[in-house]
Amino acid sequence: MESESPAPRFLAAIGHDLRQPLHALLLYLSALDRRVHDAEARDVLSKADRAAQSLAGMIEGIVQLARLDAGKVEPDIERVSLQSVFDGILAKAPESRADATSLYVHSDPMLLDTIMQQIVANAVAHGGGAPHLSANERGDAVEIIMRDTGPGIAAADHERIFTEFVRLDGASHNGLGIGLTIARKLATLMKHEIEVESVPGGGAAFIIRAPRA
Amino acid sequence: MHEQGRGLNSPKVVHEALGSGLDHLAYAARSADSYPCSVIICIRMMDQRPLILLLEDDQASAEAMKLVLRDWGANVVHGADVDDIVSSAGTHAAAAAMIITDFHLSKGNGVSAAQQLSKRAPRARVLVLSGSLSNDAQSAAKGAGFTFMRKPAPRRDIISWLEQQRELVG
Repeated sequence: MESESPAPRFLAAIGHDLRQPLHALLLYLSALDRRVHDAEARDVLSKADRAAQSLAGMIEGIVQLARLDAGKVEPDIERVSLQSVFDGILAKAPESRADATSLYVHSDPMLLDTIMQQIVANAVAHGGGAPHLSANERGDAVEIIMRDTGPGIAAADHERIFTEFVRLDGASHNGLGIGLTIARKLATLMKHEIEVESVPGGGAAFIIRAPRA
Repeated sequence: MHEQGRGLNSPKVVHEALGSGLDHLAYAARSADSYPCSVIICIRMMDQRPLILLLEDDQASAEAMKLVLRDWGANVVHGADVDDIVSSAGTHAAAAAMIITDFHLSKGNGVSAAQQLSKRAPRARVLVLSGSLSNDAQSAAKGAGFTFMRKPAPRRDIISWLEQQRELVG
């Protein structure tokens, strides 16, 4: 559905132009990392890199949300190996763990990867410990489960957390509070389901249901 | 631009360079600013580093990417379009192990450009980068059998791809 607001269309249009200098900035910083040896300078560089990564994450999120709201994201559904998705997540979030799986789903591999990344990043940002990925067959669907050992979420907030810019009381103030919104919107776009099972103090399990392939 | 006497034919340049190894020879010739690019590529290929053809029309992205690729251990020939690359690499393009291209180039798209370059560099593996979230770039890359990454692409992901290709190409 096309948004009536010009803002999402504007952001969607400039998404490419925002990414280009960010791409250069992050590569410059990584190249500088090999060339700076002074301890104080390295500390400053490390903070600059974290700030740039944070900025990149926020811009990425805003642009992605804008494109979703503008109806600009079109899934390219194919047969996707969940093991390859898990491997990609483990490479990007080494603190994660994953059970081996031979299951396949009908999904868009890049969008599914984005959903998983958003959920894992959310768990890490909120003290979820080492997120654990697994997958189970459930009839014609596959349940992809990401468990964390974080503070847990009250039942009243299970739907609220998928609302944009919502941060729960006591939650970390890093980020914009749109990661789970993006995950839910992408899941909906691909006709997948996403929900959370959690009780306060008991960690959380985010479950994505996708058609088995 | 390519006049004799100031480049590799300069006795001073050759003398200084031979005393310092191939990297310095290439550097000395480059510093002389009076050589055909293909001569330098030829010199640099002698050190067995993989040759990467980089197609990028954004100056900052190209420069930053060259730093990352050279730090990893590659020789890089950069151009804003296919003609630039062919002009710089000449027949040495055939030895390219990898092609890295932006999708949105001022002259056409990166997938078509990489396909053209692949005819000259048949064993090169291709990575397509794009800052666009639209499916066009991804679909085109996938259709051509190329790897696709979105910008900003983390150094870690780029290096991981390079390592995989080095293992595949040998």
